[in-house]
Amino acid sequence: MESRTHDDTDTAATTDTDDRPVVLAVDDEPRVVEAFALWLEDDYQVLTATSGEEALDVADDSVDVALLDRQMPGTTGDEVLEELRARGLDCRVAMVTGVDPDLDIVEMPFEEYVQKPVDGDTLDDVVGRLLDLEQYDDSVDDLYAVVQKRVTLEAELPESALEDDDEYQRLRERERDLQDETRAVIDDLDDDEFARLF
Amino acid sequence: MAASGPSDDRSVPDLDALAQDAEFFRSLVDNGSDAIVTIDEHSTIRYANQAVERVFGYAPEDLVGEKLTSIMPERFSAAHFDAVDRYLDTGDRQLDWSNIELPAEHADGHEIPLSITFEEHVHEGDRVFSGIMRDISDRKSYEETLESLQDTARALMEARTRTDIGECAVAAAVDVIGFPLASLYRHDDASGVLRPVAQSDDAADIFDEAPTLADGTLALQAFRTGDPMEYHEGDDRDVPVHRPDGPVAAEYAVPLGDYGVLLVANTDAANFDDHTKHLVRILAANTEAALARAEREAERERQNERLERFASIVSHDLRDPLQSARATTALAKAGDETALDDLETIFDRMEELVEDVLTLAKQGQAVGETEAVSLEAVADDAWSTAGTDDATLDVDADLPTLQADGERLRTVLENLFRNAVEHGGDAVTVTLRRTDDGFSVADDGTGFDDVDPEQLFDYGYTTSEDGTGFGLSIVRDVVTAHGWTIEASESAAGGARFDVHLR
Repeated sequence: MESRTHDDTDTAATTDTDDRPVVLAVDDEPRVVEAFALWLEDDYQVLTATSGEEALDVADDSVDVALLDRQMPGTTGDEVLEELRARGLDCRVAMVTGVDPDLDIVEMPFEEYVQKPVDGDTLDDVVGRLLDLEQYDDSVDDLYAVVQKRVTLEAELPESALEDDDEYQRLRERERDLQDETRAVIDDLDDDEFARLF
Repeated sequence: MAASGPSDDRSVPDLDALAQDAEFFRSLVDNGSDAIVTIDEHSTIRYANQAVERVFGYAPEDLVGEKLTSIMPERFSAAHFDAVDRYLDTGDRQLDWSNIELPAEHADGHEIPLSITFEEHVHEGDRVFSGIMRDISDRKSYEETLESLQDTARALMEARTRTDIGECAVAAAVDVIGFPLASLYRHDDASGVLRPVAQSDDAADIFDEAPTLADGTLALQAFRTGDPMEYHEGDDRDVPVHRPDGPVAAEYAVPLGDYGVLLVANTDAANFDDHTKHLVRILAANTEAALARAEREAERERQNERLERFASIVSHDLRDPLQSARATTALAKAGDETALDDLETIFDRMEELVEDVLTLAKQGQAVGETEAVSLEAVADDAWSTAGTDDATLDVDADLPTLQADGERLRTVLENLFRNAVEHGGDAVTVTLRRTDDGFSVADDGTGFDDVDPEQLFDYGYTTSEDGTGFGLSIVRDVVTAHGWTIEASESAAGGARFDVHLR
């Protein structure tokens, strides 16, 4: 499947004028990215790719949010994520996957972990939240990612497995540090904004 | 007993008269087997009987006139004098005076564990103290051995694998009970012989490679009868011996329930006394308990792993098709008509997954009753469901009969055949051959290409669009449950080949 933007109007003509945020959806199942595009195209420009290789071809600094499947033949979502960061692309990333999260996610540079199956509303919320992050300081972004990971792990793994785990404890520590760092920013957030993020 | 015995005319010496005879008591005390030593208030030995020679290595006359502390370990000396002084002053006894266990010092310097009873009496106006001392070395060493065996029992309970347990038991037989030759054998139910699990260093030196014990060995007979068996060189009973001309002169085999046998042996023809045999049986009982426990642990771990796998299968392998279904439904609603057809494919795939997960749940359990099964008959059955019209099954004329669970074996073949058809195409030719140690299933398809052989049998691993990735996992589980192994390689025709090894 060719990568393309899903837009009602001609892509080439609108790319420059269209200032809607750009979402890159990556999944090896063509139907899945088609549906993601269908769900998101009212509010966003959606780029799609059905393999990790294709995703890396398409991705550039116009991308605001990337939705990455983890398990794909060839280049995996984890590898795409690494490469995006290696290129210095500053997009927000959500892993949208059937894979159970494990402690290996602690060190992965994404913002949110979403377990399949997702529907249009969920996906819309995820993208909206990730875009909201853009307006804040990097430390808020980091705090968000750390909290997301902690919550994801706590939902998935038994307390006993987490307590003794160094990665998890480091995550907790980082969260405390970031909380101190971001206190000033968070104090400025109004209640709605705060509730939406955390 | 004289009263109840038949009347007899011999005159029985009157006990009262004996009691008057000092010579009788002198003889009794002098010749008793317990050492008797009498000291005065200054701890000087005034009397020692004959038995002191056997117990302490001194002639009685050499001890008389010496201090009692000369047959005591140095470290008790001061305490002894204090205790005697205090007793003489106050009448307080530091120690219980009857059957107290204390070590003494032999003339050659080694310590002898004693059980001592003290008596106080007055002789010709002097207060004297007599100790009746029994050498309890044998009992002590037996107790110590029992205690060490308890440590061994704890170590056995902590050992996790059969090999660890075997090595722990063998080490105890050598170090604690004292047999240089010791080994642990497990019973191989499939072939009916005993196979070595662990053996002592000396045994390894004698036998190079530990032998497999078959019919005609003491160990196998002990295993079959469930009773310990014993052999001595020159034994005229009809006892089976592994190597009658070998260096082993005495052997004792204790069965370990259904697991195998603990075998101890010696190159000396020394007899096994009852104590020693008892110790070996205690060790064997502890070993058997440890093996049973390790097996239960391993089974529980397998169950847990299986549970975890199911959790992950359900969450991972059903989440993806669920996402596809949800996506496809959304597209169909938006007007994409071909999406509805896709939906059916997705549902088929999910159904297949559910069935595979169920099969996996059933197959994962231990095999049921095994019986002699014709491989050819099972292959025919399996082909009737897994084969296709254009595909060919080529079967050896002399396929073996296997000891197997027929239903499970059928699943193995079905999955291997299905794998061949899936990857080799409809017109694939599948060959089922007898091999030296089992059978092989090969095809002339495209082979494994760049498939990682390590991953081949993993849960959920597939390179095919419509495979669930559980077929070969099921094969491996069933094969393992039979105690067999499976191996994948490239077939002569460049396709896939699976070898099932029965041993």
